Amino acid sequence: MKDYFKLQKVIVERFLRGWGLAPWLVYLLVPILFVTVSLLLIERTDYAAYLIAAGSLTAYNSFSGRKRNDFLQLQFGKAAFRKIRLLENGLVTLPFLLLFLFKGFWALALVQLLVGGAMTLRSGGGFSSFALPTPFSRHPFEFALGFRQYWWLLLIAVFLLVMGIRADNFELSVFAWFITVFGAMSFYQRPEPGFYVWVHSLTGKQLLNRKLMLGCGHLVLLGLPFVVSLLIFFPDQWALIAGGQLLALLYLSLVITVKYAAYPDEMDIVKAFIVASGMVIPPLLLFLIPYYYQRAVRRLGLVLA
Amino acid sequence: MIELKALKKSYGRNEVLKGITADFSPGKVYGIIGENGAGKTTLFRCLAGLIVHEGTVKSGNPAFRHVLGLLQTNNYFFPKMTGREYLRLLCQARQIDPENLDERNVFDLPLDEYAESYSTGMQKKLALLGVLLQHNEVLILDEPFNGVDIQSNIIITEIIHELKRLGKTILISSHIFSTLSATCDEIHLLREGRFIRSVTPSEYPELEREMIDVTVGDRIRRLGLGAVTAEQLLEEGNQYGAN
Repeated sequence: MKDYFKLQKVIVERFLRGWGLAPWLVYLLVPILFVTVSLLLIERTDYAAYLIAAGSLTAYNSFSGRKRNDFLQLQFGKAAFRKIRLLENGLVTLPFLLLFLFKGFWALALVQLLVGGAMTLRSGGGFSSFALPTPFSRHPFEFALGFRQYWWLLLIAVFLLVMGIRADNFELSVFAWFITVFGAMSFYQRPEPGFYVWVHSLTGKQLLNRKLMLGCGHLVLLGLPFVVSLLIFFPDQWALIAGGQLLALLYLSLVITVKYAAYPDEMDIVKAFIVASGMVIPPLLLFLIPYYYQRAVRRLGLVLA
Repeated sequence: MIELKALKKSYGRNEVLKGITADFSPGKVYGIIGENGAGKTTLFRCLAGLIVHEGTVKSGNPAFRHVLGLLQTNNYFFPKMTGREYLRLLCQARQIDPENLDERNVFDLPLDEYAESYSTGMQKKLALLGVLLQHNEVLILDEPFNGVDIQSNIIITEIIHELKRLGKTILISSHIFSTLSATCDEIHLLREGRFIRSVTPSEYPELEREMIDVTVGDRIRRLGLGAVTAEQLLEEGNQYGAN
């Protein structure tokens, strides 16, 4: 079991080096970033704690794959397998638990502990073939697959929206809406295998335009209940809501163009930083999107020539 | 007509294809056979333009890639993508309206379940169905019979006959000789990156015999399967135990 965790460390560090990051720096920065960002978010609104707790579900979920768990159980036996799952989930639970205890969110800390423990029992079985219906299935694949992967994030966003409306808190309601926008951006974080680009009878420019149009259309559809709710409950803020919608479309366009500008490679740390810069300083988007659009057309053209 | 001239491909120092020259005509089915690692998949990927190579691939159609269907040995399916969505994606990629999918689901696949959860054979059939729905003029089928059940095997063979009748150009690789001899007009034997022999149906039995001789050789004898029986081993064990 000790060897298993040593191997996991080696694999993680291999990934980090592959992304051009020094592992020691990551080990140092990740806890600092986690604490700083979490505290900043909670300072703005207590509801952010729910979002932070939901973030841990992604990690728990990544340990719950059926193939992975079948393999571990087969190799280590049932007792050692349970210990491994408990240790893995324990490592994820600990920082969240400490944060919630520090901030005095006793109930959330207890829920975190219970969920962490319960998720050790999930081994991916039983969910494999049921397909969650989505409004995006007519034009696969990014939003249809992303929706099924992150449906729980949508539920949290809806919960926060309801809380925001009940508390007459416009900021919280917009925050809830943008959870869906950030979620949608994450649907485009990984490059698809070459076959899925090659198979199109389109030029690089045509394919990119299609990806942008479909992406933006689906983003509007995904955010529609949020936008309509905002317009109904905060009608005075219509200009800000319209601006937010435009910003959301630009954010998604940036991620799509940057993704394909790197294609078939993954978006590296520099490009991720550029995306983050564009999000923090929106006027930059007007330069970044056309720039990466040209590069993406060229990269896709290599596959579609 | 597709013309390959001096097609070469290397991965680092490993020269996988060492200059392949061949013609493939419409309305004919070509089989490619060779051992694992002989370069069949690499040849298909070069033909499809999925990898950079030396030499030329010429075709009369300027939009060759747009009429080319590729069934890969191992098809990748996104997690949480249903069979229906996969078929839609492949049709939409070729500007084809993905209509009547249920009726055209000749392999009776559970289209509303995740493709990732399909068995190996079902995934193969889904990928093949996707390629067929695209109405391609040229079809490259890498191991189409791999993992599929006997009923589907019969259906696939009949589909290939129909595609041939429709004047399509078809290239197939398979490790099951009988599937190729039942469908192909010509079989190319790929060994060490070259077509070392091309045969027509009248020569298939001879090629099959030759392949068995070359492939099997003295391997079965070396295994020594008939040398010692289980009873003999048990008896020896008892003797050791007694000692």
